[in-house]
Amino acid sequence: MTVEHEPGTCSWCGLPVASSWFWSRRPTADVPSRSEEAVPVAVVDGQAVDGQATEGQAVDVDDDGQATDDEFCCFGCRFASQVTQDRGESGQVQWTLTRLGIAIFCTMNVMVFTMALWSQDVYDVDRSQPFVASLSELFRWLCFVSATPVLFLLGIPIAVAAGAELSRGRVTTDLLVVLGVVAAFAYSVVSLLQGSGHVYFEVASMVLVLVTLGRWLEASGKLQTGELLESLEQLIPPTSRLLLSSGEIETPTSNLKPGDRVRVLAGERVPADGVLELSTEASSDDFSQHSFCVAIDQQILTGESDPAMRRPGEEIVSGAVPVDASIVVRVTRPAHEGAVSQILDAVRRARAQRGQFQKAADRTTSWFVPFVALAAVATFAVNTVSGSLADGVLTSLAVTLIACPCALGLATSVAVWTAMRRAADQGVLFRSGEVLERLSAVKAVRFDKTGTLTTGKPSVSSFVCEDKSDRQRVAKIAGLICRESTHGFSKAIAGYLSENSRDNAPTQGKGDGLVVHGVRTVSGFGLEASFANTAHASDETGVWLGSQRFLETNNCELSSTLHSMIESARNDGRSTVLIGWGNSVRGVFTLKEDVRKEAAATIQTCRELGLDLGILSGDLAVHAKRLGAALGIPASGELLPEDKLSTLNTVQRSIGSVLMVGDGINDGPAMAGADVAASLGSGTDLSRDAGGVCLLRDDLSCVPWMIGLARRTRRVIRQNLFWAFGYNTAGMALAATGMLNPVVAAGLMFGSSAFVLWNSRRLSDFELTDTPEQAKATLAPASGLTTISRSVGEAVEV
Amino acid sequence: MIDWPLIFLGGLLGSGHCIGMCGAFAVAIGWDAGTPRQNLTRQSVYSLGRCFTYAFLGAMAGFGGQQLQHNLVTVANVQGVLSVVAGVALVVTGLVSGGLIPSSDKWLRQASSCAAATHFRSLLKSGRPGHVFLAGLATGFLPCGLVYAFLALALSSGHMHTGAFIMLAFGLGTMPLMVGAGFGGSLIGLEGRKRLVKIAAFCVILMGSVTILRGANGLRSGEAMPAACPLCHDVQTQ
Repeated sequence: MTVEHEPGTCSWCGLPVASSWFWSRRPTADVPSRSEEAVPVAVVDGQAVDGQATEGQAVDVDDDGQATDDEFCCFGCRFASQVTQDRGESGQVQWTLTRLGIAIFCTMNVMVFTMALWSQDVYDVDRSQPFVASLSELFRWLCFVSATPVLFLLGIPIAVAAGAELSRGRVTTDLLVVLGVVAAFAYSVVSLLQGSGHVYFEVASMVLVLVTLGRWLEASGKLQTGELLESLEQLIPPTSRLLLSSGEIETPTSNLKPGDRVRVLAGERVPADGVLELSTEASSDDFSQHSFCVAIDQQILTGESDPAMRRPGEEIVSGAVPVDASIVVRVTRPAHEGAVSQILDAVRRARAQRGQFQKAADRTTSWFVPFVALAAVATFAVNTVSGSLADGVLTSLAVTLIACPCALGLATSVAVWTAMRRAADQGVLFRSGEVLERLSAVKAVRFDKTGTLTTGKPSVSSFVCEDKSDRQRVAKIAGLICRESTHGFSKAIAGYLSENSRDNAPTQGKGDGLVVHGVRTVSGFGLEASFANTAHASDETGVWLGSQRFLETNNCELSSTLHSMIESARNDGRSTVLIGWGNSVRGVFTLKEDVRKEAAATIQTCRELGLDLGILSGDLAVHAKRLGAALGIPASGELLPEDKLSTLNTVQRSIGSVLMVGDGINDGPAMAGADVAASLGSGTDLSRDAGGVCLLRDDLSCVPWMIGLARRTRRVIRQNLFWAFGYNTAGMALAATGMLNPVVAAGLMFGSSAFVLWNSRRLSDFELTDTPEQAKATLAPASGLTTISRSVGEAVEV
Repeated sequence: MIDWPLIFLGGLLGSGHCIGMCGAFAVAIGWDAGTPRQNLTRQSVYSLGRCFTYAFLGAMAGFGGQQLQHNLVTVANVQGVLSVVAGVALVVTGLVSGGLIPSSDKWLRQASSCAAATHFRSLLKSGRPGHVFLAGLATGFLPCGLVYAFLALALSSGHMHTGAFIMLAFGLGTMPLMVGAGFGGSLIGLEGRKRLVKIAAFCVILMGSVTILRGANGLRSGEAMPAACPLCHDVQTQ
């Protein structure tokens, strides 16, 4: 299956087509191209588009004279798309395979006959004997008969592809290879007819077979780079069950508009972001309206393997799966703006960009081809003069084959994309391959505090009352007030009290009958309300809940014991919330920010990776310092966004590249200024943050993991480049001196592509070894974007 | 000098192991055959395709052995060394397929047969003799420990034609069971197949031991190889 084709990218592998391989340029708009004259309209994505719209993009005309928008980056992709193309007639596929099969069969024959010829050389048979001489002649003819079909079956497609590239101003090594093969074949035919001299039919046919197979392998390698995109595309169902007043109809997902209602069966994927509605069956039943609650699997976005519970009115993102019931979703965003689509867009954009390694490889390739052409011509000339014409043909063919920069072209892209796919499995999304490359060079990491190292949700650490016997009543009133507010502190207190009231259930009766009225938020200070002892009582008392200053302005006095408690809490870096009525403070809550449970292990792993660590916080310095001390890393607080940026710049000067980890909202300047920025838990909305890396899972241990992955990727890329380049140059020297048989050169070319693919493939099961157990444990259960689609797909099929 | 019956037997019994990997292809080929006769033709053509590849590989290996002997004749008794190497390879393969050494190529086998099935589906399903033959041809190249062990034997034979014939004998040996498998059927159940594999493993180990002995003999004498295998030779002379 090929990935969606976009202009300027290869129809098979989806990678950008290099604009120009050689000195000349593609036809531009003022020079009408062959295809534009012949077919004014090209079909793109099922819509007729004016030929001018695809300006500068050559359009293929296939055998039937039909216009297709197929564009290939290499012969391999062209061949591979013929072998496995979806839309083509199966007869075409069969014919391509048959062609290859017959060619291989013939080549095997050629090899055997040639080896029989060589055997005679090996044994130095007396050639004067008429029987041996005629046997030798027979084998030569058999070689010719077997090799001729190969030349036509495999040589012509390569020649056609090379010719098509040539007409676009791109000279490829394929062209040189075809020239060499034809020369070797022609030479052999001449010596066959003359009855003397060597024949090189086996060279011609083996080279053609190996080149074809090698290009095919290369193309399948490139296709691997599209696996991530493909598995993401599967997350959005192509059609949805649209609910109309008349009933349910199937409609293309792309047609969904905000306000549409769609039904999603259990196990299916939600097609677009929306809000959970009551299904029609449930709405008639009042009881089920209140209890209706659906388990939703959102693993693709959050990496959370436990399903989340959703009630009517709550948000559901596209790509999520209702686990146990069919649901109705009211669409709030069109499918192409949904959560999955945003990830898809990010990945598509990443594909169109080329990293610095890739650019280096491209640069090398661009001067490599003319260089190879020159080297081949020079080798041919030198060897023909010093040796024979056959020497010249064979050595120049060997030079062309060995110098073919195919492994070089694969070296980076396959490694980067395998790594990016692996990262997506863990919920780590790279905005581009280049980010991955930059991340591998990072020397320092700076963390934001709130929401990054801490959970961002405060929790109550203690609750003290002025009068211990009054504790139940204070708790009850505070609980009733806090329930009315959404402030983080209120939520923490309400949660804390509801948990603890359950523990004290038998004594709960004491506070019953209390009623709270008129809860009002006083911005920046706290909450104001009034309570009465019973529902019918008229004597309402004013009550205040909030900061010390708020209580003081409302004339609530603070006893000395509570005062010293508040002081000590403040010194510990904790926040306090007071509650009081009737001119005195009745109780004090102290709150702390929870450090993420994986934070300590993450810091430890980062340290083992040799990274310089630090905390940059906008919070009170005392809070930041306290956290830093707990985790054992330096921390600075009370930093304005500009301060964070200048601190980062200092680090960049003194240490090197910096990774900034934040929540992606509050640290704009710092994240833009860092070499790489990672935003944590970006979850459903990618558009809001500028981070180069999005950690879709709310899990800090992804940070060292992704740095490890990036470093490993860099190592693999270097190995690949070293191998590809080293083999090219070493082989060139051997080939130019005539020490390398063209067949061996073709085999090596195949082998080096295979090596590069295999080496890159190793990244697909990357694990950060020697990680502390805890960090491993937190990473283990996740299976993000790509694996889940398969597992769910299988479940549905079953 | 070559133990032809043993090779044929190795192929015949060893194909119990082949069915695990290639049996599915045979079934796919016979899937929509109208008559049993048609199916038989297809299966035979398919197996002939495989045999062709085996013979080709055997010829390559034999030629390689021939070249090595010719070029290294002054360095060492090449054929002796090759025989020992081939024998060791056979013994190891025998032990692996007998389950005495854990096999490590399971992943490779799965991956390659999966890849082959994807790429050659249209040829496998076509049913035309030419396509079936090509499918067999391609199948012959799939990685298989047993094939490699016999290739080592072909290499050690030191002659192109002997190498080709060794592999041809092996290939013909695999035909009966594979053709049977193509009839949809497991002529032999899983248990029976397991037992067959055990016997085949023994067979291969025996052949390996003979080859090692022969190579060792050749090395010791420092001369040309004895005409027959030492064991058989002893039997004959007694």
